Amino acid sequence: MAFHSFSRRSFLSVGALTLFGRFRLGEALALRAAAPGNSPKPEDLSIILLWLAGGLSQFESWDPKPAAKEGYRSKFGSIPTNVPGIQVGELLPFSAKHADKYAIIRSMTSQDAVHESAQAFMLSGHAPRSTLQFPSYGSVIAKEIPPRNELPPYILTGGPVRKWEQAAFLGPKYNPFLADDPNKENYKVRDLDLPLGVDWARVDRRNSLLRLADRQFRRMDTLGIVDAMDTHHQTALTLIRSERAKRAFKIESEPEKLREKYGRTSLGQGCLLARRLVEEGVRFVSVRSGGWDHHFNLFNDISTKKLPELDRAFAALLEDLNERGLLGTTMVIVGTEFGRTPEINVNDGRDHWPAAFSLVVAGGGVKGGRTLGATDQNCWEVVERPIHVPDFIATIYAKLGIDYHQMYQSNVGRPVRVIDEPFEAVQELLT
Amino acid sequence: MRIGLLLAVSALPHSIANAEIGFVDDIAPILTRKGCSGSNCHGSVRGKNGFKLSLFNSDTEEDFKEILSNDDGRRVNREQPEQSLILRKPSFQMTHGGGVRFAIDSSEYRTILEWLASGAPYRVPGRPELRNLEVSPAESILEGPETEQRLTVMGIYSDGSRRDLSRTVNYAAQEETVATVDDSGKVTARARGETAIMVRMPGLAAVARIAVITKPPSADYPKVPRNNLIDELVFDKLQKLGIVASDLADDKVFIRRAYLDTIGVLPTPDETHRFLSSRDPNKREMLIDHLLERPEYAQLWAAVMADLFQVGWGTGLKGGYQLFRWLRGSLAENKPYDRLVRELLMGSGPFVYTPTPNFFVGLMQGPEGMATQFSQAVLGVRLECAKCHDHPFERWSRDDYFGLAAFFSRLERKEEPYGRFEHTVAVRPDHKPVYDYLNNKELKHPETGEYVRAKFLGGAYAEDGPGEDPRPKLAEWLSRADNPYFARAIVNRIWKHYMGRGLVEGVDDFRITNPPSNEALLGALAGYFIEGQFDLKRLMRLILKSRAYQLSAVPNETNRDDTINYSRFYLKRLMSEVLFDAMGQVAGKRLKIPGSLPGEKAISVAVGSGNYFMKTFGKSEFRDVICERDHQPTVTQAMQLISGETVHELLTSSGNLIDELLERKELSEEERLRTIYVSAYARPPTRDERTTILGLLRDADVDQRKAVYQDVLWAIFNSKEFAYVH
Repeated sequence: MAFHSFSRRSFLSVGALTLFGRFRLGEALALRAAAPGNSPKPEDLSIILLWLAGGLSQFESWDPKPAAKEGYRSKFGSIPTNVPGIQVGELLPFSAKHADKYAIIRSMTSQDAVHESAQAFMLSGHAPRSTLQFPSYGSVIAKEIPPRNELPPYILTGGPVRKWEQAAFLGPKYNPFLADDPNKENYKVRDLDLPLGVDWARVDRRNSLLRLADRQFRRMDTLGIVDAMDTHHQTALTLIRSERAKRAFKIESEPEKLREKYGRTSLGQGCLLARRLVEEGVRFVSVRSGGWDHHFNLFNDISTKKLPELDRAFAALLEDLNERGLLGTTMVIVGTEFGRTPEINVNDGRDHWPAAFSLVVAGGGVKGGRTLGATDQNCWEVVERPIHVPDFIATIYAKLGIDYHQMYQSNVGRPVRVIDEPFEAVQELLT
Repeated sequence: MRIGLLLAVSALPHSIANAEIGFVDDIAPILTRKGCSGSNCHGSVRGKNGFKLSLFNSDTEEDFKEILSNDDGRRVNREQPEQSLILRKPSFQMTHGGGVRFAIDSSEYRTILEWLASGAPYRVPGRPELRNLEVSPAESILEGPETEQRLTVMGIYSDGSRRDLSRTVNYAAQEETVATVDDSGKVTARARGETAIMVRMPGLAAVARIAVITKPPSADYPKVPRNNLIDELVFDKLQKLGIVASDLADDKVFIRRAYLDTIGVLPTPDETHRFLSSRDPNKREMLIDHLLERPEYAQLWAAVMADLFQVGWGTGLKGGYQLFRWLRGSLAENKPYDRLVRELLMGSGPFVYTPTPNFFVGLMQGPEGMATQFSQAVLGVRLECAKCHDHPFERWSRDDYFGLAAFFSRLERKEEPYGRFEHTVAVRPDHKPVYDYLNNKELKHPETGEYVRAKFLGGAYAEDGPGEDPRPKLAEWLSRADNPYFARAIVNRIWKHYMGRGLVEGVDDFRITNPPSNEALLGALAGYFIEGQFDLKRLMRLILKSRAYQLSAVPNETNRDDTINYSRFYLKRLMSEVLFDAMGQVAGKRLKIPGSLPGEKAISVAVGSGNYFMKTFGKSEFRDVICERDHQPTVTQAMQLISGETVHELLTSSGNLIDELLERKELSEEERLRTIYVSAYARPPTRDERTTILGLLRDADVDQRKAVYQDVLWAIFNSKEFAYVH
């Protein structure tokens, strides 16, 4: 939309303020140059994000604490994985067999305990400000790296699209494309086929009538609405015309057995669709799963429903990507906005706990079979190698070769950094 | 933390009695002002190089401790104060990542040195406390780049005394592209636009507004008629800024705009025709009065307020429907807004059978959840951050947050066996002081450990008796004429609904550092609303009848860049329900929506997102975000409009407008086309549109003509002119 010109003065003043940032830019570049051979070339990398909205309990999943004190300790224990020394929650038996493929970060830490702002933070690397919405990293990736083909570079399953998953001031062009829920009966992407009885000649005539209709409106359009909507209109038409798109979304062409293996859940089928999309060249797929906000009834829900879903889906995805030789170029992230309180509340639930929580990263050249950081025995706080949210986002950008020190011009004419300072990419994940 | 503070103080030499310099009044301001506690330096979440201050020194006690006692007190040297790190680093006698903050002989250096030498007290005993900041001029207009303006800042103290703090405070411009400010308070204009200048002291903030114009308002500035007080304040400001307002919108544009904004439907071709052909000079006023009395008014506004009060979220379908219907009834009878909110606030009973308890959505998270919901929806204030820490520069402290929560502390959300278990909101009869029934614990201040007392936001304690339900006191406080939030919050929301932009943007984000674009106007509107006993329609009438509302959206040379001063009508996207209904209205078909009764319109869907179309265009599944809907266009929307079933069904189902027009053999193609255009846009086709489309129709047989009309209607539904109020 309307971008203000970048005044030299404002650039200088910002540059002076952030003296530190410049020193670190050099480090970052050196770091990138030093990336070893097993990391894929940035342009070959794709990302699948399993986004567990609501806040996954680290106790029952990636950071089990069998020795936690009474009132904190989970009703569920831990199990060994295929990597000696690494334990995960007992509700993750399938994923435990693939621990050699992923790194568990047990020392994520932030201060934000509100769903909206914590999700915005985790998905942008920017502590949210009321005056400014920041672009999600899916959008930044869509903007910074040219798409591989006509498929949308940033696709989201689940939905509807939330504010913090969007492009904000980068412009609606980089918003995610919503692929709905592939677990639905007779799933297809809505509106990807022309309605019955309408052929492309009709579409052409309709479009010429549309151009005529919009002529009037342009006079009042100071915000670039016509251009923005036309861009979407064109993108939509390209997709409707695309054979590749029709093929990519055709999840029913997968063998029944594989579909079962992923699990007939939104998360499971979302992961399977994500693999298909990545195969067809989509760079970033976010598979969203809701219902992780376990203030109530945590143990029952997470053991009968939520973790078994995640476990099947995640393990099947790793196995499938691996068999197809795609794991080396596809990074899979299991993410969430915060963890849950050590204390079990009166409703048999745990509340929001941003101080210490876990993320998991697999593939894309990330060395698996290890844990990063640690929390104390009650998971009260991080005691080793704290990793802050912006650090993690910087790591993703570093892997993709995106200059994470660059400035963007926001819609209010204010230059903003792509990630909130200070931060440092997590070297352990880059090498 | 408290213990650390005591230790630090008791470890000091006994020279405090002579001290003239205190940390709170003298030292912390230096750290704020010199940028030490800014978000890029030691004020960042993690501090810098192991030294961490609170952001802009909002927590002076912590900062005091960090400097004097943390890390074994290594930052100060009591025997040789000049050897202290907090002097040697910023004066760059030692390497310092932040460079030189002040020189060795500077006043800052000497103040800190003297403070250390005199025993480094937290506060100088007996000295009055700083309570408020006053900045003048509060508003100024600068002509042309490089023009300067000096700001004066007065501190107001607990004993009523005043002191010039112009050289003590920290200054920052919100938009540095518009104006910059140095640390003496000198503002320099940079480029045309408006910005706020923030003035900060630890824990306090004030703001000055600066407008930069490029040339002085010309003497022949056009005189425009002013319909009421809104126009006085809008056009006064525009004149000062040298911005000329757009012309009055013509009648065709006006009737469509007034219908969509006030009642959420399009005018019928008949209504448009009658209005356009009337010669009554007061026809706009008459139309406005008429629209506000139409039954669709309450339907539209119930849908708008349903978002605000999160209808159906967490209280279930039936309960949501109850509250929705109650809202509609209240709006239809034009219940004064203070009464409406009071009735919501006083609700109790089962969700399924009584409407108002469904308001207590936040109670799922206990009294604190209600404090968050209530302040955001009703007061326009985001309090969430005050739950964990005092706000860096706003006045909200944890006292405010928990004080507001205490008003809801006697409420309990419980399950009652009414045949089956139903949720109920009930007032506890027992006499526990202040209780969080959700978590079954006494509600105490997390820092002081004391019982929380009900406190009006930013004001006095409610002085409620033990066991008393304090809600009536909160309701009474809302409707006081001097309540600083209640009227302004709703007035701003209504203003935004009609004018496309809030005077405060972020309608739930009123705070000192987010000032209104036109303070005088917001104040006047709130005053008018209170004086009119919180009469919603009276306020809307004032807005609708102003010339400002009736301006054209077409910009001129002077106002093209203006996005905050209402110099032209700002384009607004139709709400998804209104868009869906409008398409059905034009096509002459009302499509069935899941979750609604047959024949009901989209605007009447109380709970849930309706159908896929409505969801795609922004109606949320749960009204779980109190703030506003997202109106950004998306690719998914474009696909919906190109090949989606809603549009296709409207174009092709039998008996629609196209069928009806084609059946009426007496009509010419031109008349048919005109009917379609007037239905959709309240205007006839332009010459180009007419020529092109009649050309397509001329050589077509019946089937082909039908297809042409379908394509025309498709183009209309895809057009921006249709999707926007303009």
